[in-house]
Amino acid sequence: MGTTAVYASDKGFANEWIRRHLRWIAPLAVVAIVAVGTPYVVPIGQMTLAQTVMIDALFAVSVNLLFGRAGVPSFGQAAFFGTGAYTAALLSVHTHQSIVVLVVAAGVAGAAAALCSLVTARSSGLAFSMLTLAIGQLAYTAAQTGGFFGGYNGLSGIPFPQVGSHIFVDTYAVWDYVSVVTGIGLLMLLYIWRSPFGYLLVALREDPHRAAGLGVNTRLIRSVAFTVSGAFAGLAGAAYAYTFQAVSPGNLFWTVSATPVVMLLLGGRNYFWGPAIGALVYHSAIQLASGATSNYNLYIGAVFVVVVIYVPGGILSLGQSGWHALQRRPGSRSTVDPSHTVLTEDSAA
Amino acid sequence: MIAVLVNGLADGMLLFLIASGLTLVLGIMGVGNFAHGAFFGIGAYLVSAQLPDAPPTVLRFVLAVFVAALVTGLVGLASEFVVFRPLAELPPTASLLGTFGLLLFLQGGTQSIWGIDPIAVARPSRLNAPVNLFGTSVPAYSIVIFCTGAVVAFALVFVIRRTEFGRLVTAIAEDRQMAFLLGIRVKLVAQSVFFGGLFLAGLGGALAAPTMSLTPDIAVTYIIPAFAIVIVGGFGSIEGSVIGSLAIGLFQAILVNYVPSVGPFTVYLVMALMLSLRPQGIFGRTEIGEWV
Repeated sequence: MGTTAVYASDKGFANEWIRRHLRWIAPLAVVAIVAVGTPYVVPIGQMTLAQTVMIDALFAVSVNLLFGRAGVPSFGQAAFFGTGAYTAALLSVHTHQSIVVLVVAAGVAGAAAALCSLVTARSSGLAFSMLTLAIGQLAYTAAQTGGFFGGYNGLSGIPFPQVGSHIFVDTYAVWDYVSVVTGIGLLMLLYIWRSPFGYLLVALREDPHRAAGLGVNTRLIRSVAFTVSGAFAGLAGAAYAYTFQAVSPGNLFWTVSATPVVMLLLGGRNYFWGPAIGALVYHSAIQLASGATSNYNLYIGAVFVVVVIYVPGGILSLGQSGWHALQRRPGSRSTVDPSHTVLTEDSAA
Repeated sequence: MIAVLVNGLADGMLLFLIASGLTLVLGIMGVGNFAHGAFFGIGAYLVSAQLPDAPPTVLRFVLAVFVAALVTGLVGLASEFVVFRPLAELPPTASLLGTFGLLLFLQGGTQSIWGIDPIAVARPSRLNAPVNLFGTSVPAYSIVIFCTGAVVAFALVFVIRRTEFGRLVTAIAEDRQMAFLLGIRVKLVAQSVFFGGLFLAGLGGALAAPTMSLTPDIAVTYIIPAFAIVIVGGFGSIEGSVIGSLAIGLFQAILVNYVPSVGPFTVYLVMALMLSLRPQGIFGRTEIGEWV
């Protein structure tokens, strides 16, 4: 735009560069600030909770690649979260290099998802949800029955993460490790979300028939999305294994699949950061309510139904509509790019 | 061998009772309901709440089952007003999510009323006695379940195919808008079907209660076999559901008996097999990808 060029020539090259790359610098800065700043703000007793929020943020954003971007609602992602966690647990005995463990865990989870997508890719809507729920419960049953997986008790005694010869031994060190791993995972997902592939998923969500008519192999694209989502769920699972030093079949139970769905709906499934915000709000709310009740599903379910009916865009959509209302005020300069609005607004729901 | 087959058929008929409501509501009326299993769970818990720890008399048990199914149907009707009606105005994804929220709510509600500890329900001692059938002894309760399932199956087929009400339901399922324009009271008929479907879910839960230990998670664990039966039988086909249920029951009994390590996975195996060989199910015309 002309104004930008004038502005840039006034302030010099560096400013222009920052402007152009702000959409990448800003997320990087946010992730870095969260990773570095959290230990200064959060008391040590709550650091494990902070780690859980980071892991669930990554998990929920990976689920939202399917849910929000591709419009295929999966209720069985715990299968891949659990695959990642169990792979990390089993592998950490053989190699202490935790980066290798993480990559392999994500790869195995992705491969498992690719296999499952052979069955799921031809369905959508309720049928897809039920199939993925079945996949989750299948994995849960398998984890319980196989002696290799430690049966009902699962596997424990996972060593602390290690990179090179450096071992991350205490809570703060594990936070450093987990926040960097999940932060990198989130940025990778952001890249995928904004890539041409990410927009292809939007096309499939909005009108699969037209996308197919334009020559898109819808089944293949859905399979790839399922695989990528599964791989990042596996990464989150592996990070979980390192945080809690133990995994059990409980990590594959249906409630584990349900939690990210609650988070992404709460935060806003049409926004990349929606599920991450949802994870933060969800865990804060549970933490506050834990004195009053131990049975969350009753309240979560009620809130969930109300959100679906009355605030289908989630928390971030409230922020966005407030922002638009401010900008529509007479006398204020509108800078809303209409093409951007079309893509982010909740046109599917 | 005969004992395995007879038990398999009885288990299959129990599965049919669980799935019949789903066939009615999802398959025929096209209303996606993630929370169906929660109504099954409510039926089971309601029976346990009405009965003492000691084995009840047959009459008391039958009464408890009937009341449980009725109350489950009423809870379903209430949720139709509060959840399903506002959702009907929204796109399919929203109704999927909304009924998922309902599932969480009902599962949590069950848990806050009855707790998470497993509950056992005693069956009437007269129905516990073994009966001699084809040279093997079968618990009388299995025969009761089998007969109830058969009666429900015939009743459903009769109502849908042979009555005025069934014709209205079929008309609405075929073209809701046109049915409305022709003066059919669409809302009333849809509500009745909804009530009927959840009454059957409650009935299934109530009859299944004495055969298992109740935990709030049955809300989720039993939606999967019910759904598998709709896949195997074909979308909206009652005959298909019966055959699918019996087939799954038989497979399960045979596998549990002869290949115990595969037993727990029967439902998933049958589902995967059906989806890859015949995605529209035994009697269905709609492929799974084209569902609601």
